[in-house]
Amino acid sequence: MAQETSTLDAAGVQPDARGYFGGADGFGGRYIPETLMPACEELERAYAAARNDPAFQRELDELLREYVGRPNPLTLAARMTAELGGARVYLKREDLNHTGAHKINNTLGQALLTKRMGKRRVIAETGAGQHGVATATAAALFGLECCVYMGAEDVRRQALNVFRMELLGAKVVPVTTGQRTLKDACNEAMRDWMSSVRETHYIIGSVMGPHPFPMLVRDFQAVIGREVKEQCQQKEGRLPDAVVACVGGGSNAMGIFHPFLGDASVRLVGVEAAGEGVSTDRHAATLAKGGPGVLHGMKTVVLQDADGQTANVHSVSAGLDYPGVGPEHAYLHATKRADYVSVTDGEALDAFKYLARLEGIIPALESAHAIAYVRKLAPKMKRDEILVVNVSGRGDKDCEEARRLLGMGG
Amino acid sequence: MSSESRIASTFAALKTAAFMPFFTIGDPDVETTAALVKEAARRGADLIELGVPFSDPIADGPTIQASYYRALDRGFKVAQVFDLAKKLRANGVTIPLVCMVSHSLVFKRGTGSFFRSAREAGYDGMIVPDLPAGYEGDATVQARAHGLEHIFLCAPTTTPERRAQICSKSGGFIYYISVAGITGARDALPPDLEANVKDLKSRTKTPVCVGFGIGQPAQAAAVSKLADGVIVGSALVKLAAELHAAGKSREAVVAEVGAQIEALARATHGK
Repeated sequence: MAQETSTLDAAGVQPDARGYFGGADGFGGRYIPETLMPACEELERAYAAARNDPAFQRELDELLREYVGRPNPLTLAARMTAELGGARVYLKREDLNHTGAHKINNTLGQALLTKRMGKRRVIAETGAGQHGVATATAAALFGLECCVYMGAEDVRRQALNVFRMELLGAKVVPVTTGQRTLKDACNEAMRDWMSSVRETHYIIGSVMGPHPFPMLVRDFQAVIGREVKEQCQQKEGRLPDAVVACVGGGSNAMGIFHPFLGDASVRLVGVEAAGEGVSTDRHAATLAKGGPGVLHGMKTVVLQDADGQTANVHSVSAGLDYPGVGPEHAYLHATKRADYVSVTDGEALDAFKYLARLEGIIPALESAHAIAYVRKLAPKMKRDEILVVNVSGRGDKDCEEARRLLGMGG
Repeated sequence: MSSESRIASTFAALKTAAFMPFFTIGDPDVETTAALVKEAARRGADLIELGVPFSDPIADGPTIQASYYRALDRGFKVAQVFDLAKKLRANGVTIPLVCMVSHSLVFKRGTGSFFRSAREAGYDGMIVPDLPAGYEGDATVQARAHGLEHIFLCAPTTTPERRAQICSKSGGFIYYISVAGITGARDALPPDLEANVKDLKSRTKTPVCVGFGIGQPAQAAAVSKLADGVIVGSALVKLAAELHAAGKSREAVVAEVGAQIEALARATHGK
């Protein structure tokens, strides 16, 4: 991998001019139909200008403070720490954001860019519905027309979020092709964008897709890691020893990892969805089981068959049910700067209950994957060590599905 | 690419615009695809575009996507892409064959390996719709090394700077996408089509073919006055699928689609 084309420093990894992390033999790029090339170039220019514009940064900061409620706390999980008997565990409380997840950090940033580009309509794909809700929210706030594509299977699993999006004025289109989940919603959103690109911006919800999306979404989510760094300094007077986050496309993980990439003492751990187990064919553990491939506009690590057809994936969590991963994660995996592990549906459901009972916090099923791994990692760490886990979203949306799966109540 | 390529000599020999039908390989089965290619050649097609089924197509509309899923459901494998061309060439079919395939599938096999197999099987050109100019890596070099034309697409949204790039890179012909959107037959031709095709033709001697949204002979006739070639995909794929779904035999499907191809070819050729 050509190291000279990217810089790993305190500011983290940057892609090269064409959007590759780790040079042209690395991950990223822009594998999209010609029709969309000008839109990606336009977005790249608009973002470059916004990034250097203090007025843009001020406006976004104010929204994050006054509308989202940032900074959200870094909560010491005292009972969990005592029960696990190892590292002190802190929870980064993205679940307390307006709309209940980290997704809003990105959609507000991209909605501001949409206005700057003079476009009047936004579209989005969504898995669990959190990104769809966050996009519909930003669209309502800015008076933009909004259309959200959602796999029909996820529409069933996340009925409450569908209602929320509609209440916010968005049109929700169920996608009935393919596996009827997140990847199929991505295909449909991409198709809409092909036909509507002149007046529409596609608010991609994770650190994926063609350049500059992986970089741009990461930058909007990096506020999570910046706050953790500052809060950990205030509470503990030093950096954490480990940072753990779940990875589907990987935006909450990239956001919390990014400010720590240059801090070699901080172990970064991404937790993928092992579904029914990585030795079965029903999982979504892309980095554990996948190989290099091209999907949804990016070269990254993908779960495919021998021909390159996308494999069917499974996770109890709609937000992790995705056969690819953001290209920067593929790069961090290849360079071993971050570790990637996986936990099963069962372990995630246990962790869902565990955090509720021990800390009074019901996490999203996505975030429960990260919690499940903390239960394995924290006991192996020393008592004076610090572990931060990203509670990327709250679990209200999952209560119905979890009740069904856990066979509780009702 | 030498001027001896089968695609170049086909365009050179034509006094009218070329007609190029599109079929999805393996829909409803590879035998039918082979029969459709032979029938199209007999009924006046000048080149054939063959689409490779992919699980996650983003450039294709619902009609082509559905055809990809039908083929995949019936167990389509990439090896059949090469087997099909080999058999056609072995049966004396000489019409230029252009393979349209997602970069996801090309990348998996390796660009050099995919292109070599395609050339050896009998393909003349490659269209990789999700490999835009600037991101093609060594694909154009590999195509040339293996004797294939690497055909690039150009869209109504393409900037002048990118048009220049595409005109200099594209071999065989330039595939102009008539509308900013996905494939699929539409009723009217877009108003900016004429100006955009003229602009491209002022930049290059490479033939410019127009596809996306053309389904009827009258549209083909109109486009043939502007461009060097007319590509029809969704309308034919849809017709074949409907006939097949209605329980028609392979022979009947091929004959009826063939009749439509003849009408489109005649319109394109100004007859």
